[in-house]
Amino acid sequence: MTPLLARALSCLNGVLKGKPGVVRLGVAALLARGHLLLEDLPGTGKTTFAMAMARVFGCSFKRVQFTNDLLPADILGTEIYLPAEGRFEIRPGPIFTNFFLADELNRASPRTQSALLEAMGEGRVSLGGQTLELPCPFFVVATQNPLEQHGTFPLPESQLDRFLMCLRLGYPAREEEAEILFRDGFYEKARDLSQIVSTKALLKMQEEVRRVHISSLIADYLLDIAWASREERSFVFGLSTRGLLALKRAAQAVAYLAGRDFVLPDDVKQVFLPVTYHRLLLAEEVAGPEKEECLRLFLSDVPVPV
Amino acid sequence: MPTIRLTKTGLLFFLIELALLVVVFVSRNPNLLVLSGTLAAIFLTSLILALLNVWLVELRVPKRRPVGSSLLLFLERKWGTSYALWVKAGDSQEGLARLKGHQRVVLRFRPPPRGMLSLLIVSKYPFGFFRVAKTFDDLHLILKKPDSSWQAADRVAGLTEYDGRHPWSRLDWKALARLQRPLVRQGEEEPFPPHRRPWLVYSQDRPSVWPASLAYLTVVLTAYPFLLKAPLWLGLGFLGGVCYGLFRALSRKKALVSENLGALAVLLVAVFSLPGLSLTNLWARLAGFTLSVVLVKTLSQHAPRDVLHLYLLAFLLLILQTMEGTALLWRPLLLFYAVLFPSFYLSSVLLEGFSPKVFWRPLLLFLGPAVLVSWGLIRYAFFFLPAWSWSGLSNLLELGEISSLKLDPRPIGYLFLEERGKVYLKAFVYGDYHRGRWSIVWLPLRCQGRQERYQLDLKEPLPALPYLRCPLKIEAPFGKFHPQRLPLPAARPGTYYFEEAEFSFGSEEPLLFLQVPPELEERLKPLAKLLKGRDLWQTLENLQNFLAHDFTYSLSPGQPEGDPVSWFLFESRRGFCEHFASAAVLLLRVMGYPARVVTGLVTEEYTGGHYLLRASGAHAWVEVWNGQTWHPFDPTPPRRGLWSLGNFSFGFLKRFFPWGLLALLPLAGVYLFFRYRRSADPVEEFLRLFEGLGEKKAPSETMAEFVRRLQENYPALSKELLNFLNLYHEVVFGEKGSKDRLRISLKDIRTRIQQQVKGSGRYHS
Repeated sequence: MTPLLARALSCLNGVLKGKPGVVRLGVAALLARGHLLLEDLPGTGKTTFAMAMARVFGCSFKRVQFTNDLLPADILGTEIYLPAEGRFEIRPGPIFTNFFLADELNRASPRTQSALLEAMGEGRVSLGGQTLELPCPFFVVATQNPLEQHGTFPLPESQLDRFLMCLRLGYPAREEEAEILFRDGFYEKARDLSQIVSTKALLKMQEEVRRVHISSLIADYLLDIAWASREERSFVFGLSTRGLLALKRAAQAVAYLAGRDFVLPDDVKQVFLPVTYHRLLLAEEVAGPEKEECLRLFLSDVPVPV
Repeated sequence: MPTIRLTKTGLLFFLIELALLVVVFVSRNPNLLVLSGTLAAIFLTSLILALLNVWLVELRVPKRRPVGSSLLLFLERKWGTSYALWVKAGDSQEGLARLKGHQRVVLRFRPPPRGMLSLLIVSKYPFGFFRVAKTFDDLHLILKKPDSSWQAADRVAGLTEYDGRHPWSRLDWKALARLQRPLVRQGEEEPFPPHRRPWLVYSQDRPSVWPASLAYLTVVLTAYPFLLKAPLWLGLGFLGGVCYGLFRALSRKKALVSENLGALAVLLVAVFSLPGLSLTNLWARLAGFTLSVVLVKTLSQHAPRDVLHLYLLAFLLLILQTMEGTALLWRPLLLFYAVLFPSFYLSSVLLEGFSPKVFWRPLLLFLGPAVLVSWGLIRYAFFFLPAWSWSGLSNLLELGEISSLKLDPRPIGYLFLEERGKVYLKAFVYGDYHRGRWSIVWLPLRCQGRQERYQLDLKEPLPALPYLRCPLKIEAPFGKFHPQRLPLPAARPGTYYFEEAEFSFGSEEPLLFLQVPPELEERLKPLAKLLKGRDLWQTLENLQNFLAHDFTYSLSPGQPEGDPVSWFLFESRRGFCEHFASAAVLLLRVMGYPARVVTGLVTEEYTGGHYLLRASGAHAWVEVWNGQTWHPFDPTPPRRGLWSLGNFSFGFLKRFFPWGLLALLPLAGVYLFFRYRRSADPVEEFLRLFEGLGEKKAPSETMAEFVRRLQENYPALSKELLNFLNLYHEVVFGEKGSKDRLRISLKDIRTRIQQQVKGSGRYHS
């Protein structure tokens, strides 16, 4: 791991207390050019985390609170007529940023959701017959509230697939929480963080992550996992090929974060849960820790290559 | 008390032993007696060890307790070849492990919250004849620290204070109360003091190829005498088959034919060897059958059971060898002690996991009684062989009488005498011949010449006591006497001491032995004229040549028509000793030489300071008067052996064979070396190494997780393990460099483990 990255991580850990695993995986998602879905209760530090990441990586940051009356134009931007000049001008929406925090994504109407997801998938936005490239890097952090199901539009599986990882923050440990209690103001702290990694360096890292070596043993292991998931009875359907690619990229990023230029089975195991949590639908409707346990059980049946 | 059970191997062995004893009883073969006695000694030693409750496994508790509430026990294997462990907590009983190849095992388990925790150890004694189950009770009490309630218990037991170093401490008291021996030597800081330091043995997850190879070598060595007698193509074919089997065993091939097909093949061989089976070719056929079964076995899988079968076949071959000659043979015994016994034992230990300590101690213990018993039996086999009533020699010799004895190899006595080639013991001397019947002559005894003493041990009653020349004085079991006339009185079993003179004299004697029936004299005269030489010696030579070339020895010459001697001489030309002797005597008498037929026992088998006398040694020969003494003369041509399967035994094979075998060994070694070298994957070796220590990697566990677990259990190895892990990651997943880099790291781990064992005697810090 480069000292730069180490500093960035320690900085993030200073803001999001007691969740080094989540921080690591979040950064891994960024490095793998993926998008992040945070699924947890309100007030567990989702926004703080996204904010801190944006600051540390020196990127522009925008946040949109999704509601059911939010329109696609509110995100993408609109074309407005300028009577004085007699022409249409494009007003880019909040999506034209490096870090985009979509709060409570599942509250928005499917139309708005799909507008965002399309932008995530394509990396560009069509506005008034013009195609505008989104800035690079482009990183979406969406949050979902699993509890309040009233008046929400759950994201369809195909769209969930666009998120590289789904992370659950959870409550911090008691000691950590005590520290948070005494030293309030983490959001402000996050907002005031200075840039550590330049955008150029981030792009270079993203390129390096792509080149992390995958040995044939690991490729086999990934394929074993995918094929086993397709045969597994307790899943409604197995891992898609995009899901498999996501698993690979996430594992590469985690390996890069560990300072290696090759992937270990341990990396795959580490990212398996966040990558597949939102992708695999269990036959029995369980969520949260129970679902994680089921997935972990499934993974323990796949032999690891030696 | 432990429970002792006879295992399947033990039962098989017991049945074989019983069958052997039956054969010994029937055939009275001293070799078989010695072999079966040796086997019985091994079996009984095993039983005595079991009955004496010799500890197979010793359980030890280290004084420094492990952290937490888990139990830490050390098990040291002392005698047994393998053992299994069960832990019984309360009512539930769960299997813990089946252990192979461990000299020392470290057990860690959690004691139950309530109830007794006992450990059941089921182990096999060496050779696997007996299985012993022993329970160690109250394991968690053993480990508990003394507290107030314990002190109360101690007070009850008459101990005021708990003292770990005191021999009458809590534990020993409990053990004694249960009539157990103390489990734990308290006060030993070190669970294994230097002189009891265990060997570290790595178990193999793949079965060793050595047991099967050793079994094949044993089979070839035991089959060696048969192969020499077989035609060349048969011998080479068999060797080729065995080499193929060896190759299959070394390359761990799966079975080529199913068990049923194999059994069918064996059955077919048995059916094909049945036609023409007779008493004379019985052993040869059995040997052929056994060798064929070995060839069928080469197609099998070489699992432990197949290896056991091969050893059984080798043992059968050994038994058949002892049936060949009926003298006490050293070869089968040598083969047994030098090849079969150690190789079988080594194989059985190898199959369960080898360690020198567990190998040598029982081997020496078993070898001692076996050697003693076999030595005793060789020396005194005679007295242990069963006696039968025996007839044959009688005072009226009817031609054809002896042939029935010729096939009976039962030993009937020992003659203690220095070796002097073929020995003739006389029983009866016959004078007159009449129509195929010789009648006995009573002779007065007048002895003269140098005196000689010898001893005769008789096992069977005989119609007359046999003697060498001229007995002066005989010490019989019933008393001393000076015989006055010949033949000597009938003899019953016992030991006889003879004092003999060199020859008896009596000038009137020869004239008694010139009678020839007149009708026979006419027929024999032309032949006698033809055979008569210048003097007696030349005549005897002519006679011998004539009878050896134109006549065949046969035990079943057919029914004679008319006078048996003229029928033998002029018609059938087939006969056995009585015919040859009678014809020679009558011809000599026709020529004018006094001659007589003598019957008695002949023997050439000299072993261990004595001649062995057998029923089949009953023989008739000739004595001719040379002017001063009676000169013995045996006109019967030597008989061809039972074992001549063909005349194709090639000398070069005989010379080449043992050296060729020796040359094969290094070749096999080179082959094995390259095989293992090629196949040894350092990662596999690493996993096997720790599996041998009871740490197995789960399939879903990554190497890093496994190593983390190992580091917890073996903190002393932490650094080496981490090194190995990093190298492993780079080599296997980073694909940087070859796996040879891992070997060095693996070697470091091994050295470190050995240092740990030798240094402090424990892995756990």
